[in-house]
Amino acid sequence: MEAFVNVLSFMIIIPLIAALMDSGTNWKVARWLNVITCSYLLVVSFILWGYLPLATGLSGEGIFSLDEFSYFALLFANILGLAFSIYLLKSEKLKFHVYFIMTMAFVNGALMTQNAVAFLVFWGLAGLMLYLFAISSKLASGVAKKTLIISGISDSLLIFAFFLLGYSNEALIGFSGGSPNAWEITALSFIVLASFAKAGAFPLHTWIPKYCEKAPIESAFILPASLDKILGIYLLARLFLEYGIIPQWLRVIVAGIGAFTIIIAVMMALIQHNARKLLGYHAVSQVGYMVLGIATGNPVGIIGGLLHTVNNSIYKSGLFMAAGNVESSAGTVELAELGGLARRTPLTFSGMLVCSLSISGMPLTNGFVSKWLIYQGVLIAMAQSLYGYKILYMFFLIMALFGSALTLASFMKLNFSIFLGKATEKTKDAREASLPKLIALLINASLCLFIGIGWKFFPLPLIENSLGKNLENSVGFLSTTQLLGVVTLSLVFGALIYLMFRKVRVDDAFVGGQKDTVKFRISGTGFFNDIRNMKPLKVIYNGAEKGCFDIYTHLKTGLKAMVTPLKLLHTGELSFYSVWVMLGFIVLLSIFLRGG
Amino acid sequence: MIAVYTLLFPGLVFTAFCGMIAWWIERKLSALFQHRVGPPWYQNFIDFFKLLGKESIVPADSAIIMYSVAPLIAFASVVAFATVLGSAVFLNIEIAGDLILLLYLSSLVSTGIFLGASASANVYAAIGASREIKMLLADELVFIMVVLVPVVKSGFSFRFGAVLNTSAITSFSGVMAYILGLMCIQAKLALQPFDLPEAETELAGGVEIEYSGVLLGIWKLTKAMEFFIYPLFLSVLFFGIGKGFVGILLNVLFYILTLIILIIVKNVNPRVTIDKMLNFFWKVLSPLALIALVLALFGG
Repeated sequence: MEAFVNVLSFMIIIPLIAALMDSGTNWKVARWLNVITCSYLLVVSFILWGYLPLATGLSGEGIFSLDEFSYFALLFANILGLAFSIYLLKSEKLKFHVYFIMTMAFVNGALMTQNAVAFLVFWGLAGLMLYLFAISSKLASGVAKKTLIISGISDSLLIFAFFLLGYSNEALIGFSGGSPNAWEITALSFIVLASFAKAGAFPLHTWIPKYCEKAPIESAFILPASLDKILGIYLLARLFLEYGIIPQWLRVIVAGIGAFTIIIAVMMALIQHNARKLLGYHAVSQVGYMVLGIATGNPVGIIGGLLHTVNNSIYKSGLFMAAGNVESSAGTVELAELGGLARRTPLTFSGMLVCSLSISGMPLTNGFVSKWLIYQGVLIAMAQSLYGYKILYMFFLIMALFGSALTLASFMKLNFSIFLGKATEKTKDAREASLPKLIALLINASLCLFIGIGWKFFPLPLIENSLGKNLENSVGFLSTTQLLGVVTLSLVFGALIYLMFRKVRVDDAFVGGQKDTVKFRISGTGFFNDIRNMKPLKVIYNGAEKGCFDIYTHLKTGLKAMVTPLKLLHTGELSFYSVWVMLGFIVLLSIFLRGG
Repeated sequence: MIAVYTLLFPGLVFTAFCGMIAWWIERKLSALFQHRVGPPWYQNFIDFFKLLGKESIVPADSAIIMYSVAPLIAFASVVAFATVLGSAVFLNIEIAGDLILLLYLSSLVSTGIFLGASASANVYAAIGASREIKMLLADELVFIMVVLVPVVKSGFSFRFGAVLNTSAITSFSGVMAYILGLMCIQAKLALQPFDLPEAETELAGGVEIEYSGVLLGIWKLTKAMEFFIYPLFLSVLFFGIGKGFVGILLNVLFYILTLIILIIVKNVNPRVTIDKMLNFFWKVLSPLALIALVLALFGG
């Protein structure tokens, strides 16, 4: 046991040492250092499985500790870390390697501590890495500022919350014996908002789409698409699991925000013309499912929410990797300029398609399993609630189910625009991205299928251990092995028919009696114009594109309005300040005289 | 046993046979509407086997692998749907999954159609594909609420054991949801007035325009199976599974009634435009489905 005590500290120290060494070398050395470090972190993470719970202090008083729940998050963060380090093998920017391995250290730190101050430090540093990644690109300076401010807001809210709740080394959030009082409710709400800002749920999600569009793609899949989600949802789940009694009304509000996030973000994703921005909106939308699942408060929903967090991190980082591959193959991610890449980059297409089907929740992928659990969780919550709440949960269930159809539609548009249809000037000579980028993408895609089929073996037992509860399927039934059998048999039978009667001739196609040319090409960007122009959605879309629903824009406008009159008082002229000093002196004098 | 369930009964062979017959009923009734004789009962079988012997022409510009795999995806999804549903209806056993799985398998069929059409790189197929996916969005919102009515009636369960033992049609909300469900199935089967993805006169077949030979045969087989399983799904979802000879007879009659209504609606309505369809489903049918669902929640 004691031999493993300091391993927890090494999970932070080793990547930080690697970062230091990286910064003193060049990118060619740094990339391999990072792969070795991430492999070490992953191997240690697996070894730690048998030694839970762990603490750095022998009597449990140390800063770092690891219980079953934080272990679950840690393991997946480090699985993804290894995939990221492989993807970055071809990244020639040294600072990305340094930032990445520092990010791994800070994320591990936040997940391995129950100490509020230490958590705040690591949480804040992970947010800072987001900023550093973004400012490394000139295009992203504006969004870097926005990201930093929203991260700062989330940090401040957390500080307030921990201050109000008090903290201990044993539990991050602290326990409450009975119903929480007004101060505790305020603190809980602040924690919820902080987790929303980090993970990217409504209303603090607005930094994510722009970040994903403008910031370097490497940072998009490392943080907003995956590790930030794990951190944010980890905090939210800790709150719901640790804090004695959460009032039902608060749970319903949080669940409602989750359901609302699903719909608004996916509706925005539907009309995007830039692949990275589209993925950014989906990064927001998927958070809604996690929040909804956890906020149901029942074991099935919480297991679904947690499983969806790791599933989302896997397929979402895979999708960003695929977008990165497309960018390096064709030089753009503007959908109007893409098309026909499936023949030219079949491996990237396969990876993107599997991840797309996963995020859309298609059967036999990981996305289906977690969504299926979340729907059950909501149905159970609906069955156990009184009529007012019953109707609300019914709305949430409809929104979650329909959100999945919208996600599918959005990803079909994405796949059509990039890979199917006819080739364009930018794509006609495109070739596959480099091998490490393909390997990293295919690792993620394989994980989507592996978890989708074998979820009961991994990671379900891990989640059950972390919650101390077993999954009981009272309102649903799913056997992925049976489904795999049915689908495989059908596919094999279909393939046999095809192969037996196959007489294929590849020939030119004709349209309107003429040989089909690139002139007869449709871009996927206009697929959903009917929805975009539908009343009253048109007004809402127009407003959203102008930033009318962006809380950050309103905050900025409000602050500007407050500061403008104050600016008038600061002219910089000595005589003007003298008048203010005199006036202040008179006011103080009058107060003292009246008091006397 | 999974192999028997999947390939023979109630999966592939049984569903394909029933689907071909259901499709023949559609062709025969449609012919009667148009004062024609219509085809003999075995015509669909002949058509299918004839297609197997024909040449498959693959467009040079297409994504060949996806073009060939997409019909198999849709085919496997329909067989899986038939096996899961059929096992619950005819054998009273749960295989693979529940109602949620069926909802997603039906979306996977549309996904297969979309991918196949898109892979062919034909402009009409692309328009058809975009319509296919918009139609999915249009009908899915209503269909979700329709499916939730029997779920609520069964005491909040997605399992077939609970849902198929409840007869939601005996309540007002059940009747309302069933009628709305008919519209959704009409759209899922791409029958007039919702035959937008294929729209022969506008798009010359749309999503299927480039397909020929064995691949077109697989599409047709998939479509025939859909013709059996979707009306069956709707009828058992609301009628439940009857007990004894009379119960089974009533089940069969209710299925035939569902099928005939779909065929009549197909024959007396012209095709609508995609924006009208979206508006109709989202602005007219969705509020009605929501009312039905709220009524069901309150026991109505």
